Amino acid sequence: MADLLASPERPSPTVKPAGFRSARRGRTASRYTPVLSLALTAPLLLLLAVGFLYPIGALIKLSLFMPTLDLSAYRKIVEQPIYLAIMARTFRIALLVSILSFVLGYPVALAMASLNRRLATIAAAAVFIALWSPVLVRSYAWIVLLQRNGVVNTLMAQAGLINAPVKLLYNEGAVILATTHVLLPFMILPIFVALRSIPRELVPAARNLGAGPATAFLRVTLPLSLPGVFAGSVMCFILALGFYITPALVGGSGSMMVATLIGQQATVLLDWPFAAALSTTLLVATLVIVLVFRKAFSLSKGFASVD
Amino acid sequence: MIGQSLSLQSLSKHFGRAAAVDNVSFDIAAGEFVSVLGPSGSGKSTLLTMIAGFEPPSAGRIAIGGYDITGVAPNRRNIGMVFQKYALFPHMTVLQNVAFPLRMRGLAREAIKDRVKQMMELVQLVGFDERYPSQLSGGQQQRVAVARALVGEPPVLLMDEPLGALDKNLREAMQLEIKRIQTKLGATVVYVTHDQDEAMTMSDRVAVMAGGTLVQVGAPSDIYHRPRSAFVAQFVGKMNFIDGECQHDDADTCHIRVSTSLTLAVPSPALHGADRLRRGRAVRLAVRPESLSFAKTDGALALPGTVEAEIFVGPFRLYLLRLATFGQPVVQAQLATSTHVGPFARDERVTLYAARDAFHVFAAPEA
Repeated sequence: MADLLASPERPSPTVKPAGFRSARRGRTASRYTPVLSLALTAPLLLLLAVGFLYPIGALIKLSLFMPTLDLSAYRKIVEQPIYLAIMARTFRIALLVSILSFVLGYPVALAMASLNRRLATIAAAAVFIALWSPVLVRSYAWIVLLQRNGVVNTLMAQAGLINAPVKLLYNEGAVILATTHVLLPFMILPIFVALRSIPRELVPAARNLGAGPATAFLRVTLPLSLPGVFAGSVMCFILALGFYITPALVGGSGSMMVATLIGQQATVLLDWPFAAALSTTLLVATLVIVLVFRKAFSLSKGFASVD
Repeated sequence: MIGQSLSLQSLSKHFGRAAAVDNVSFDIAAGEFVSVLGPSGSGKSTLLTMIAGFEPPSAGRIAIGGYDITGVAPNRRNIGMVFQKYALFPHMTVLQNVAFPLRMRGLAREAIKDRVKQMMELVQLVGFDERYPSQLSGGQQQRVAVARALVGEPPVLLMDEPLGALDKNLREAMQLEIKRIQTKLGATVVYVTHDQDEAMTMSDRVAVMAGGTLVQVGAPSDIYHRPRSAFVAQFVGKMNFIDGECQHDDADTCHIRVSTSLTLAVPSPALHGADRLRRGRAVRLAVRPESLSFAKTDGALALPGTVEAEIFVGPFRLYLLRLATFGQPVVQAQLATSTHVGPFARDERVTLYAARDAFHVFAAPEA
């Protein structure tokens, strides 16, 4: 920040000797020749090409040509209401998961970024332990909690709230709950980073200028943490769109999501062109959403100044 | 209303067992510019934090214009504050930043517009309304911070090392600028700094702080010419120290042996209310470089020494001289460039002279 503030006072001369300029630019990249840079990144590029670009190309080709251009797979998605319904449900669940993650995750991120050392440590530990434990374990944990004779049903029955066990598992609610739980760290961590980068003295400054604690939060902390909220939301939303394990475990037939459908088509029904068409649709939808978010993000003036 | 009195009464702040601020009492008159000067860790920032209301004091009272505000929330104190790194809101324009305190008070749109306009004129920053802080230079950000702190007409303005991030020339220009605005508005300012030049230049009074307590409060010239402790003497301005031993203190003149063959008669510390010194008490003599003059030795002895180094500073030459007194300390002396009497060779024997009154005597820490 100090550099940023000080630099306009001493405008650097625009014309510099070439040698000086390249030395100034001296970031790691320019120290290597283009050939060497390429050689160093080649293994990764190769891996990307073979393991990512080629399969995606093959996937798109598979969905469009069989063996001549044929859009029937895509037509199937549009024409059969069941598939559109699954698409719509997937987006709805992803949206609800993002919103829920934000609502639940923001306070945790706040606690992690708080000045209270002990509180910050506890919150960070909770987040990282959750992040490090396998998705499968976390999903099964929800089955243990929510099943017919699970912890929640037992407790509610003992408290006299219910007479017979309630069906908590294998529905959309369970999918949203478990997916939110798995994806929470992806919301919390970007918000935490954004909160941590807010200069410490801004909230005291707002308080000093007449803002109460709530106003200071709404006018200063929240707007300045929005870049983190955006990043976390995009991440959660996109991960939720293609989420497979958790919906497959805690979801039922009435709460099927696209990833599960794709898996079913590819491995059970062996309708590869249709699976490919579904995958391509999901990919395109995801890319569009990322681009829209990025556009909205870069247009939100002033956030660029948050360092 | 802008410019009211501030009274700190037995103010203390403890963190666990350590006292960051220890029993500080201090009255600041309306419209006065007071600097709190101290090294880092002296408690000066904690003092400011308590006045602003960010930290409750462990003991004591704070009153503004006669009203006790000790328990009042920071947002209800209406104290202006300029933070070390300005603390401008990066997501708001200059206009929104300066208007912020007025909007918090729910002023009408038109009134806000007028007040902000006046303020921007006062800090000479017209035409920058729609810029974001990141688009301003350090000096401009500083002006915005001052405008934002003053727009609400605070009874007291606190400034926490506000010029620390600026380079030297700009810092000096901003010192005069802040002083101009303060005088024009009649604002009461508490200015925290570790830069003694800054404190000297701007203040009506300087409060020197060390170890959580106020060690001396007075006008800049008072602090400079009549330091009451060795700490203030060495912290404010440059100071030479010569170790010695008290021979005789008659509460008016103190005779101090500085070498086996030399005794100096200097004003007694008892003149400033300190205890008379016992015979044989180890003391430190303090004398400012500009009070020392010297010439080549020509028989007579005042304070004998040798030249160690000569440094050209601009308006004067600074000499490092090794004294032939106890412990052979190296002291600094200045000779105006215009009255240069040298050149002096290294190790050349010289004699130092200083007016009797230029010496301050402090009891040395007991061994």
